[in-house]
Amino acid sequence: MLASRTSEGSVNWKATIADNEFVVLFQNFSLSIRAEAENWEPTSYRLTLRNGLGKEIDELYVGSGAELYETVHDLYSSARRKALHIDEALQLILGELKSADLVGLDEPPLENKIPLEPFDDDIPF
Amino acid sequence: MPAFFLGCDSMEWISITGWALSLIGTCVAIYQIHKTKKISAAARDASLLTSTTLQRNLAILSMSSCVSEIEEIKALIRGARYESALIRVSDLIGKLAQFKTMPKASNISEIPSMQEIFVQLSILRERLELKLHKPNSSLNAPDVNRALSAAADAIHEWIGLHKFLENGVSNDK
Repeated sequence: MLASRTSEGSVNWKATIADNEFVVLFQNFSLSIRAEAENWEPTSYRLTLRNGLGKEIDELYVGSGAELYETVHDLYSSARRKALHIDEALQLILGELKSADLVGLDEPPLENKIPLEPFDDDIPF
Repeated sequence: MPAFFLGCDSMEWISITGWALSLIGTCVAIYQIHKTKKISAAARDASLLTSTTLQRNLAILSMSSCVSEIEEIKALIRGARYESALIRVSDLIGKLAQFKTMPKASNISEIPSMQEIFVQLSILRERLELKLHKPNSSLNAPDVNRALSAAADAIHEWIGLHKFLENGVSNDK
């Protein structure tokens, strides 16, 4: 059910501090999906259920040979697309490509520029 | 003077005076009881208000220290000091859990995105632990710091909402 609702785009998946993990928040619980790939092995997935305080209460590991693998693989892809707003980005790019104007900026917009000086706020302990 | 009073002897006069005085005394007693009741209710209200204000101020203080801790974690992660960061993250989760589970006065609300903050911090703790065991595992500092900044912003917003006295409450009260 979660997989079908996710593929419809009606589940609010969110990005986390880890670039390979996405989370959906429920009332007092949360479910995250994580992709794990090590040493050229096929990607495996880990679904983690947490309580309201973020404490892990259950976990499901789905390896490449598992029966649920394809379903969980699709769930991860859809969750990633939703959390990172990939579909919206592609729509915008498509819109720009369809316009008659010159496509592509000369330089990135101002807010995307990275500051040259590193931050010097390391604490001494 | 009415004929009744003219025919009274001294004992009857004493009795009438005593009756009148006891009536006045009863009225005074009723008035004093009423006054004391009002004072007691006002004292109870003042004590309740003081207690909730104190609890709210303590909560604000505790949340402010959480924001400082978030800033320290960001600096530690930027400096690749993962063990110190892990200790701070665990401490921060504990502080926030204490705040979430404590019985709150009616003038203290929950932080709206608290559940998301807990999830992000739990994932961060797992990643830091993994990083200590497997130094090659990935931990994207800008992503982590972006999520931590969002958490700090949510807490700042909560502090801003609770920082000022409610309408109709003055410092005198």
